[in-house]
Amino acid sequence: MKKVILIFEGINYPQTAIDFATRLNTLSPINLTGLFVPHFEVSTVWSYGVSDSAHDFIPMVSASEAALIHNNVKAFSEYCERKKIPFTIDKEFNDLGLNSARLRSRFADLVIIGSGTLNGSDTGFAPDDLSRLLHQIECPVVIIPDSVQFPTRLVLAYDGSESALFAIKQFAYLFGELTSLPTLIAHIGEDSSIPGEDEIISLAKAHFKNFKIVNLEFEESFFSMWARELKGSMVICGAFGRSGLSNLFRKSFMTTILSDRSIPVFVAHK
Amino acid sequence: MKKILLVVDALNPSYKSLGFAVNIANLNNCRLDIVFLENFYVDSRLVVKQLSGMAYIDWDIDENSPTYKLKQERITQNIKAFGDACERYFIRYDITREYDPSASIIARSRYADLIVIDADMSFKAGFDSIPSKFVRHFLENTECPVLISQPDLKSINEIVFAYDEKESSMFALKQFTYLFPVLRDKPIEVVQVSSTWNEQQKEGLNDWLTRYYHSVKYRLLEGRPEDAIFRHMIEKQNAILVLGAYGRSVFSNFINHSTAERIIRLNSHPIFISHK
Repeated sequence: MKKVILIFEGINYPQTAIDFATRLNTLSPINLTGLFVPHFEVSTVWSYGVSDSAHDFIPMVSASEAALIHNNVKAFSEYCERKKIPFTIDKEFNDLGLNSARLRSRFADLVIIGSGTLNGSDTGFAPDDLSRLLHQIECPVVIIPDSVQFPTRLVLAYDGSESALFAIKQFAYLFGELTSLPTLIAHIGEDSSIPGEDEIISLAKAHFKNFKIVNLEFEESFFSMWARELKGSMVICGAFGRSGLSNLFRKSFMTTILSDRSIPVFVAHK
Repeated sequence: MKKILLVVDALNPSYKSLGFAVNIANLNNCRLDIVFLENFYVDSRLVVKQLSGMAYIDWDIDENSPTYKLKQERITQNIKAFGDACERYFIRYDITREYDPSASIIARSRYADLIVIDADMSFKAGFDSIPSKFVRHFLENTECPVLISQPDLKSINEIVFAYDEKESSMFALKQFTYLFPVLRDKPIEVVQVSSTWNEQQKEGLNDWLTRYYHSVKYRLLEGRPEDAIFRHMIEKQNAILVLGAYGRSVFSNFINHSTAERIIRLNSHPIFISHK
């Protein structure tokens, strides 16, 4: 039984992300932990490479916010009971905010974040901040924008890099039930030929039942626009490493996808 | 299904390792990709070549050399014999050859779920250590988990997981669990070299472990990590050791590094190593 953490930040209630977890549970039973953390300013909490808890800023929770959060906890509990999803509630208001989410993610298989979760759904999150947050979490993450349907197609973002292959493998291990969906291995990169084409086909044959390879001969900035046109797609991509400076290419690619906020994204980083 | 590679020395492939790898592939009900590694460069020498009627000397394989021909003949025979052995095991297989042992196998690891290798595989003439320099380099640079074979293993009856409160060791355990769902009914023992448990981490670890494994035990070991885990494993039979971080950064992971090497040298248990 997979252990899945769903992050509730501040007063947000990411219903689409909860629906996603519910569908996962019907495919294969999960244990869902609702991790309720205070609203925070990501850029003040996370340094680029190493988080420093000394700079964590845990804002006070007003009485009205506390009531809303209490309602969210209640609504989530009732929802899980109704849907018969084994769940736990984890309230981190006295801990060090999302810094503690890092250790919790070590002992989880997957973290789900509603993309309206960070910085509030009204304004949306800053993709750079989300990228940094993703690198602190120690297990793969699925980012679910509001109002998207459960994926009916997979798009594996492939550039031949170690991080892309890492993400593809982790997805296959965690979402074996989804590997029969139509899958596109989308090559993005400056090469006109697909790097390691025979090898990726061999690996894909071992994990994905219905896949094709496409060579996208356009700039990476168009990738999310292209993926969005494929209705019901979910993008699987690797992320730049914790020493991010040498991976600016990956960073810009990630930022583009995360900015779009219209496609579910599975991200795993080494 | 998983993509599992067995790496063998093309000139001296180990049939015991093949038997071990077949068992591992069968556990996952998947095919076995066997990679015959040969050191192409060791056969390079100054060779006279012709271009537009002009003779010149270049550094290349001397394909006319009797030694080279004999070697190639022997490798061809080995591949055929290995193929025959796979047929007898009734396993689906594929055999490929690679000529640059170190670089090629690291490149192949990117596209594999697991690589099975012997600890003493070496392409160095004369004495080499265990694990060999080749295997050490491979362990530090591989991009997928590695299983150090233990050809005499009869069955896997227990999993021993060496935890050190670091991300990398938990990552190794997760990879092992995802790759070997069939072993989830085996008892797992978590060992840590420390005088106390970090209760917060132990609680999290136990919460995760009990979702996958029915029988979980915890044990604290005393002493230096490399000695303590080494001594602990000697007492075990038919167990597999799961270790994180045979680090890329050797200095930051020297404890696991030396622990792994001592146990590899003993070669009494298969070791699953994965680093993040």
